[in-house]
Amino acid sequence: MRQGIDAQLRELGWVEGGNLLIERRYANGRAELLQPMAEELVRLKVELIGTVGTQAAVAAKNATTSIPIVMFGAGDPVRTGLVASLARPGGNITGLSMVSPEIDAKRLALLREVLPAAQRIGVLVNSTNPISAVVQKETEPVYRSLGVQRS
Amino acid sequence: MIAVAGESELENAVAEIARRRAQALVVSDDALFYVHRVSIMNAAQGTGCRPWSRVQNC
Repeated sequence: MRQGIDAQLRELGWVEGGNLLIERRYANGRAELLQPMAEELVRLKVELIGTVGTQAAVAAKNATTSIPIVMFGAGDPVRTGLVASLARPGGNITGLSMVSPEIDAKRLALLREVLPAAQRIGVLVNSTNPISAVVQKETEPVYRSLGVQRS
Repeated sequence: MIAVAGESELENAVAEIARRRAQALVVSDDALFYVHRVSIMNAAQGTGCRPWSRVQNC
């Protein structure tokens, strides 16, 4: 992802170290680091915050209402409360959503094709990620329709 | 369904799913699971699962 962003920035005339300074912060899966990182970026007075993942977007939203935030992939931004609606997001956030509940439903259908006899499927979710509750609720009917029990 | 809040809970969570005799393991899109995907695969294989790309057949 970083290579893609860097390449596109260069194409648009922004060269890091030249006319662009990027303050990168990585939580490496530790959600508790995201809020302080977002607050640090606000203190540094960056002009734009890019986020990867739902939790990073939520942290950025909690940290600022004025600095523009661009999501590079987050769970459903409406159902996680990041934006008011897709048509009129409002606030200072825009970007790309993974629409993950729908993708998870499709993934389960594919799993059913791979393992047609499976009746018990273990599901691992991150309790600290707000999209998890949305996905659980949205995929429940899919599991039922496939005759699969989540364990 | 097993909910985890951090890396330290991953191994036990996979073991618990195996104890419940799940026949497959679904891991949702999440930074925690992406960063620790190798640990999850190793934990699942330790329970006798055969790895798939995103879904593991236990």
